[in-house]
Amino acid sequence: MTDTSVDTGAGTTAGGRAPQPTGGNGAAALERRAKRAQRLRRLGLHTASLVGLILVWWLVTRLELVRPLYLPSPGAVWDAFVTANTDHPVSEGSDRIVRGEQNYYLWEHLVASLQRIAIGVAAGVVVGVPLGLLMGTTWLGVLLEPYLNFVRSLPPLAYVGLLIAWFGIGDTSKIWLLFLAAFPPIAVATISGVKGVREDQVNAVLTLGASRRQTLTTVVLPSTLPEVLTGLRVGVGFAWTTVVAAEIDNGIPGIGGLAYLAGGQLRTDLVIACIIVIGFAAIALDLGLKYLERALVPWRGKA
Amino acid sequence: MADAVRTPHRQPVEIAGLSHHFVVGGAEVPALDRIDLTIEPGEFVTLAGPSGCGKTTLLRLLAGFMRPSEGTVSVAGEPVRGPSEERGVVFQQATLFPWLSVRRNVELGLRLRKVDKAEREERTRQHLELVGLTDFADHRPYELSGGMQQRCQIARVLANDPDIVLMDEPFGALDALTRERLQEELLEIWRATGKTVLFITHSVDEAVFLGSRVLVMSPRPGRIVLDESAVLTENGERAAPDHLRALPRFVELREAVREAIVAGQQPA
Ligand SMILES: Nc1ncnc2c1ncn2[C@@H]1O[C@H](COP(=O)(O)OP(=O)(O)OP(=O)(O)O)[C@@H](O)[C@H]1O
Ligand SMILES: [Mg+2]
Repeated sequence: MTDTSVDTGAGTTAGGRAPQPTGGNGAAALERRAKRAQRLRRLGLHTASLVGLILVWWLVTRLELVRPLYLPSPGAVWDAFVTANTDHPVSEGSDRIVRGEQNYYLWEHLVASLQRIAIGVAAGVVVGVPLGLLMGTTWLGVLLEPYLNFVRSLPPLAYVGLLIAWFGIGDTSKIWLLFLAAFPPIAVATISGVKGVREDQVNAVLTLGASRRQTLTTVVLPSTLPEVLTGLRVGVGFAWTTVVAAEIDNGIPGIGGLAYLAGGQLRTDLVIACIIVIGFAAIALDLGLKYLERALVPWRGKA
Repeated sequence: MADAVRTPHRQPVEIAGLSHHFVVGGAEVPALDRIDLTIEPGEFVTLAGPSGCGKTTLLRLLAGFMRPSEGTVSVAGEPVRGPSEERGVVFQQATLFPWLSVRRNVELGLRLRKVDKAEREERTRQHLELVGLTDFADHRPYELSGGMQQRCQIARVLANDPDIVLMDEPFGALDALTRERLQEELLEIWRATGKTVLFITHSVDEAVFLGSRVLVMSPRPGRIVLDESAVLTENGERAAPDHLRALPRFVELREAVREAIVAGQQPA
């Protein structure tokens, strides 16, 4: 967006106006092309590294350097992936047809987990952002910070049993777990965002006649937004890492539950298929959040 | 140029026995030393002095951004307790809001005060034009040069029409021509509206050219070492800039200000 020809105003003459921010579609087009080339190069690099990785994987299994139980071949994983997404016979030669894995297609497991993550993280935002704002600006921060750090440091597996005892084995306890994973980083990021609000920006808006409430909405919230979005990305990441723990009991449908179940049955090909699906879904989600960040906070790093 | 939307108050800014120190790493750093000063309504006070002498500190105390260590600051008889819309501030470092466009920044005060749309738009347009940023109204502040940001800040403050305008080296980052034009415009606004202005500058010429009263501060801790009235008129009319600068009184005052600054810097 930076137009190199934007004038500094040095040429402004008395009574005249600033120079036009025109400046060559040529330059802009050139820059666009350079950006596209860069994107293509990056995509090429990622593709090449992925292909290389799969090739090495395939070679290792092909040369039988590792037992297939430990590391199934790419082909076997692909088969597991396809099987998990289709109706297929229970076993070779049988006429009993079953649906995907555990009666759900793989993508249905994924969607179920995504839904839980979405609810858990949304609750994390709804609670974490206001709490962070309060903690960053009032004595509540001093009071609650140790508790926040306490919750933050607990491994989810340590208290999942407790949540199940409290909220039952259904979805409620799972969502609670995901919420507890996602909310601390969001609250912590909000606190650090509020504390980072520039004092003179608050002063400036007060000299323009802002009330306390207006100061909050016109300065404090927007200048905290970049940190909140970073916290959101971290929170979503934590939710993903917690999803297996959340779905360890009665987690079907659920991609984490399926991975855990498959591991218990030593179906490593399906485990790896699940891992890859989780990884890709997480990357896609994070890309979406990054895009959101760029759209909502175009000033990041510039002011 | 700008119409007086509100009638300016007719009461002075009073500073009495004002001292201020900062605490840095446990040690007290004195910045201002026993300042007594009364600024009459409608005065255009320029303030010069060596870097680090406490000019910004004085301005921030007037704005209400901090409490003085000693002494009082009051406006219209009321002690200053915090920032207020009656005292607009042009900061030394532009504090624009990057989440708002240039236009939104300029109209922010009017929006906050719920001035009706037609008037808001008209005033915003006027002030964008005043500072020559009409064509950049939809840009974001970080897409502007330093001098353009400074001009945007000036427009933001003036559009909000404060009775008292506190300006901290507002024209520091501008080229000579833009600077001269804005000096003229500012004088024009001041004459038309009767606002009270405190204008900090490093330029001796600017201090004498703009001020109806010129102050010079000593090096840290700052004291007022020169306080001259400078209503530079000829036959009751303000003279044209070139003419003005040739007046004996102008030359004389400029020398006096320069000497006051130099004398402070090399205590003999
Ligand atoms: N926030 C602060 N904390 C500690 N010391 C400060 C602070 N602000 C200013 N000072 C000190 O107070 C003194 C006066 O600072 P001030 O900013 O008022 O100077 P100034 O006259 O505006 O200088 P300049 O012309 O360079 O802007 C300086 O020596 C500085 O070290
Ligand atoms: Mg200063």
